[in-house]
Amino acid sequence: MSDFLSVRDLVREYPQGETPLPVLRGINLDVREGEFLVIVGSSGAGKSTLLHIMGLLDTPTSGAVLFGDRNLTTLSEREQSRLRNTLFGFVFQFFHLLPDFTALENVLVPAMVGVGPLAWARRRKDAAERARSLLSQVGLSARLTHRPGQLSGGERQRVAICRALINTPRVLFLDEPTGNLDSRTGQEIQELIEGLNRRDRQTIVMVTHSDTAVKRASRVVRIHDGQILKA
Amino acid sequence: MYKLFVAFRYLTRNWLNLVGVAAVAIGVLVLVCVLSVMKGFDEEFRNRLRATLSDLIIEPYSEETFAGYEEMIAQIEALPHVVACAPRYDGLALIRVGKSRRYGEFQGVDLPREVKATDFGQYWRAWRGRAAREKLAEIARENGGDLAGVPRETLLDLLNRMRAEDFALLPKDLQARAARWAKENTVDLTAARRAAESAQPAWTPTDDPRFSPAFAGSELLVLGQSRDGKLVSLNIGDEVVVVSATDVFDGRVIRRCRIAGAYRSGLHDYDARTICLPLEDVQKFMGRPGHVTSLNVRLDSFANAPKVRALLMGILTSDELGRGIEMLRGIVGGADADLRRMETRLRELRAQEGNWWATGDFTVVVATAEIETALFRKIGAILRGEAGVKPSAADLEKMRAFQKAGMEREQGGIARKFRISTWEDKRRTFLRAVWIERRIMGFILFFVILIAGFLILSILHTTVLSKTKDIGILKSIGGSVGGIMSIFMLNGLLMSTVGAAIGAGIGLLIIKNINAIQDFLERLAGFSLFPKDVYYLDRLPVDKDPAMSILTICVISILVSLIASAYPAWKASRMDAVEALRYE
Repeated sequence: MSDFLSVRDLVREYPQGETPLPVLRGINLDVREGEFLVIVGSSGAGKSTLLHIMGLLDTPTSGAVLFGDRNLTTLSEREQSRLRNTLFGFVFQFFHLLPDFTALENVLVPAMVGVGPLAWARRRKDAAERARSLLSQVGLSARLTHRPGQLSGGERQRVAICRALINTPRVLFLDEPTGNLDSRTGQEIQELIEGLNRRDRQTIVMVTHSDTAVKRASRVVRIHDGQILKA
Repeated sequence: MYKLFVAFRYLTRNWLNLVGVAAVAIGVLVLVCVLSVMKGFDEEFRNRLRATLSDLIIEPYSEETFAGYEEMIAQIEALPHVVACAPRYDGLALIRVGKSRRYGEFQGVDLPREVKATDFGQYWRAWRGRAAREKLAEIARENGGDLAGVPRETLLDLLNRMRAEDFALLPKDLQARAARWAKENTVDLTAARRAAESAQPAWTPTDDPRFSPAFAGSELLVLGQSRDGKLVSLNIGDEVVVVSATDVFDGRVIRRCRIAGAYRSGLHDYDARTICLPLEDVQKFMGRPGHVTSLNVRLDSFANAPKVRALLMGILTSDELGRGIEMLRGIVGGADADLRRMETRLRELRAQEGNWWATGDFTVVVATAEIETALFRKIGAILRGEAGVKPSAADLEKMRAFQKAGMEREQGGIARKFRISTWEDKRRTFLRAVWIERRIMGFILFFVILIAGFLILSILHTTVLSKTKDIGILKSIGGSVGGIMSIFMLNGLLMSTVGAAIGAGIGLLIIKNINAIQDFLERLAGFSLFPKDVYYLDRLPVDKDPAMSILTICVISILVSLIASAYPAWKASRMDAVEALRYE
């Protein structure tokens, strides 16, 4: 029993005609605080689905996502949204930045969620300060007012990482963050992520194909056909 | 906060959103302008329709004429809310003007009282100002635009006849020239205008007893058009013959008149068909000295018309009836069948009073009398102890007081044998037509807003489709179902609010400057867009106080847009985050 994030007997099926298509078949997994957990597996093994369910973006067919002794799967949609905002951070393979907003604004948007206009007026300066400092840490201080379309792939992914970190999440989920980058840029992003774990003790759960990531992870979990393979 | 932030950004970064803003703006603009002009026309038309009708018109039910009107006038003028009362002797007539004969009406008026009780004086001043304006323009034309050579008296006389609005209607260059002339000749234009505003019509006595002085409707005097387009009309001092159809003397009475002046109410039918003569002359030649056909009563406010009518007829007003029923309810209880019936009838009466176009004065009077009778019968029954209730001493006192007040009212009524109508009763059919027309127009125009609403729906739908990925992203950073829905609702709200504000602003600018715009367009087009002689108006009328209608239009358009944005917003909020984020 973990006192951090864990999943119990997780099953996820997709409706498909008469017989539903199972993607996850009874996953049990504990995430330890401060670890760098890497999930690997072949395409379609259910890695991403597991990540989405853990991060409350998707709902399991059965089973539970626990944080401490709280069952997160039974919470209301509103409460889950709040936790996505405060507890978790997401980084995706395709960056997924809001195209109409500048780099700085993209990082700031999560800080605005759940804050009223008046409270935001008071808090805006601090939040902007934090966003700027995050962006300068990843070497983007000169790119604050650029929109995603004006940034390179590596830069976009760094903005996405800053966005995931703005609300100081307990767990950072990364879904193949280097999958859409050339190897050199991928390497840079990889180091950046490792740094977060090593320096800031940021708990990281990452789905990847990258071998270097596997080597540097504190723990590797393999998924095959919706089940965790015993090491 | 992120909802507003994202919604606002979608508004400014998405050209389709700007199309939505433009659609709402155009819709609101059209509505503001059209309804404003329509309301302006409406008010103008209402005033025209009224012509020389006063607030209340008292006529005998059966007789053609009645005597003893002086005492009645004295009594009526002593009533509260009554400002003035004037006698009239009206009759159908054949009017011979030049070589033509026209069918129309003659009105015997007591001029000093008439100008107090009706708008007659105003119409006379309107005619006088217009005539002076035309004369001044003609003089200026003849002198090549130069006023310097014109005799001082002539110009002074013309300026003294022109009210501020007449002066404002002069061509701009002529206004400037007249002002310069006034300055050079030390003539005080403000004083001249004040003199024109306060001038009163008066009969010009004719030295020949065979003639009566007469004021004619301005259009009645028009004989025709000369070859160069100028109107040929009778002038002051010319002869007009009034032939009255009557059962006295052989079926007709002929009276020759000399024109002493004219009046212009703006209601073409009235101006083309009526002629006013001194009341005594009419009484004399009609062989009915001391008789009149009607009394015109002017009130401090038209809103008091039902109250004064009740006083005149010696009946209770609907408010007083309501108080009486209320009092009885306290005594016999609300379940009493008689009382319930009275309440129902009173409700109907009140509805009729509110819909003056649907019923006549007579309906109201009959209904009032009916309720009143029932009410007093009930009170009588209770007082005689036949109603099976034992009222307290205080209640008995109250009922007796009410009975006494009703009796006093009945005895105080001075016009029980008369039909008393408001001017709206008299012009019911016309007013109703105008009212219905405006309703229908407003209804049709509402569709403009509806189209804008549909446009917003489709724009938002498109926005939602193009922002699928954004919706996934927003969900992944903590946006809830309600939050996503709010974003797109807010987006619609912003579109419509900004659009409505722009539309209302431009609309307000247009209606404030509508006549300048009209002048400009006419110069551009080279012909008259708004022929003054067709509409019989000097200026395009607009709603003078458009704030309320603009506000209504804006609120309705924003509501419609909000309803239109609900579906796309709901659709957006139901999107599956994982599905939305799956592909690049």
